[in-house]
Amino acid sequence: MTLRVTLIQGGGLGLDQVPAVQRILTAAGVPIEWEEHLAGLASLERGGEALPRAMLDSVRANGLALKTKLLMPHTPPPRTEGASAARLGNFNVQFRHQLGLFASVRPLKNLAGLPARFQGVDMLVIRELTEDLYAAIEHEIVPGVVQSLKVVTEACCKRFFHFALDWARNHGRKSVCCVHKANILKLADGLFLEAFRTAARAYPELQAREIIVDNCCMQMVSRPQQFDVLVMGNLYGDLVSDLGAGIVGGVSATAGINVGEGVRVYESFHGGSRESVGVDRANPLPLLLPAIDLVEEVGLIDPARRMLAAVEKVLTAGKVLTPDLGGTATTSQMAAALIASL
Amino acid sequence: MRAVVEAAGAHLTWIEALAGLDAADRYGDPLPPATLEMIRRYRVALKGPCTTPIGKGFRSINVRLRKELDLYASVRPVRTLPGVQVPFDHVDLVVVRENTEGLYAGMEHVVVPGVVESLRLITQPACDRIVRFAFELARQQGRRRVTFCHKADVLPLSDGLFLAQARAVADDYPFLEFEEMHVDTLCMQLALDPTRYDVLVMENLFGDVLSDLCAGLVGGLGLVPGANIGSKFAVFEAVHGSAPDLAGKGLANPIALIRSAALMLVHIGQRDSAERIEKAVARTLERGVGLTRDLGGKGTTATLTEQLIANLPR
Repeated sequence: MTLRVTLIQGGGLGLDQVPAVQRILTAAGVPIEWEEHLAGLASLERGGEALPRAMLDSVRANGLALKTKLLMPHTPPPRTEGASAARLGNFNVQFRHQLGLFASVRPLKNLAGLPARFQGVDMLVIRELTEDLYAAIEHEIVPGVVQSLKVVTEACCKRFFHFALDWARNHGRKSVCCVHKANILKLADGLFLEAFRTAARAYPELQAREIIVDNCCMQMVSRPQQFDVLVMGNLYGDLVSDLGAGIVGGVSATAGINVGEGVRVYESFHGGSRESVGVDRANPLPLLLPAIDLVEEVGLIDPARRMLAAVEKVLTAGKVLTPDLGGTATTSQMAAALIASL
Repeated sequence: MRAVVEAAGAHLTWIEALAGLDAADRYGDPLPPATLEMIRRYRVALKGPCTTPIGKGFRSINVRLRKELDLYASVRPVRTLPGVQVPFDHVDLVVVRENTEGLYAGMEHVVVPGVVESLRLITQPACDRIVRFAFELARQQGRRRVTFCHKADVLPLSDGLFLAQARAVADDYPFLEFEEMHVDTLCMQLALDPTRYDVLVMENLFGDVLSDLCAGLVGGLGLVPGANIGSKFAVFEAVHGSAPDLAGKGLANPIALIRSAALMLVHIGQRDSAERIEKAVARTLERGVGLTRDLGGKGTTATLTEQLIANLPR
């Protein structure tokens, strides 16, 4: 059986990560037929749109995609006008919006051989993706006075918690903790928390917990091992999932799975311009890890395990690593080492 | 706390005022007008922890205090302490948080049942004064760099305004480094290497989360002091919860409150006493005698206080 998966190239480091990851998956015997599409900066540079329709249609048709971070054009914003930096909007946020991706799952787990401040971490951060402040409903009332709206609706909360609790149960998790700030945002986070409590009653096999977001962040840097599954709104999820990545050793250990109706996008959250590190210098792991998750999720357990074992072997050996991991290897060399370790 | 502060040689007259659940029981208001009036008269206050119930009940006393007294800057100095076992070393940073706007202005409403909106307010004057405050703090404390943290890529108007204002203020301080970072990136970087940060400045919600995150880097809220500062008034506070289960048992760790008192002493010009208190705290933690349970010891508030006084420099 050959899988059809959309592969989205967003430019910058992705240009080096994509061929490396494709080689590794082929070597591991994963039968995937890639439908490659450009998006973000990579597409703009070829005269295309940031989010080409053909790319979005391909994701919808295949239901599965692997995506690098979509880079923004790199003209720096003028110093006098901060807002202009984002007039174009964030392509990655627009991408989620276009595909109706409503939840993001971020697995956070230590990798053998990757230095980290904490060991024994194995948690999921599941984040709502459509509402909250990041819906970016904003207006300027008078010059110098701006309001943004944080929106929380019962309907979105219900859909989100149903998904998150299902995911937790299907992945053999034991406890789910809702992260909130209902002590201050009594209505908005109050609604979110109440929806969690209601939804959790239908999952008696999962222990339902609650924690205030500031305390959650403090616990994350003191005893992160206590957490199993964390569920939260869009903004807190942005902060906590990146904080969690830092705890297990940074971008090399992170992957994101963004989910909509009938669509799953496996994403790299780390990208950047090639100029910052040089051509063929990108660390392939930020894209390889979501690829491994994708392979595992479609039931190809054995190749997924072999690839993960190869990652840990190469990290532990510490010989063929890209510069951001403290080595001197190129992306291609590190990919070759990963293949040799399969 | 009072015993340690007095033994450190501070010249203070304490005037006690009630706030929190006790005040609510006695006066029907967790922040009685008499308490506010006293702070207005004496300008400076030290506040113990107060609990705010989740999802209902009265509005947070802390939020009300900040609003009533226009305490626009929250300051959380975070420094690695000797003898405290944490996976991070050499942390020495200050989180400066805007205290009056953002989502915490308390403007929320139900649009239709099941749909709630909260307003996040950002104004140019508030952005200006908080960033200026951070730069002034950096200058006075001999710090090198101010990192402004935001999410302008997703919130182009509100955080765009804040960012533009931060850049404008930074232009007035060319002798200090200025750096901009996305808040999510900063969270990751703090977990990877917090030592490279110096002064962090940001809006209310980000600041709430980041100041507790940073407290976690050095051992938690039981150890770090806090201050809320405005142009007229200043309220210093231990930011940890009120731990009702410990109350009255003599087991509470007083260090956060004592260090908050030390910050207050610096604020009113009694720097010598403040430094003696900080030295006593460092020595006590290093020696590890008489510590309370939250610090891994078997002691009580009394034994810890005794040690702190004994460890004051002569």
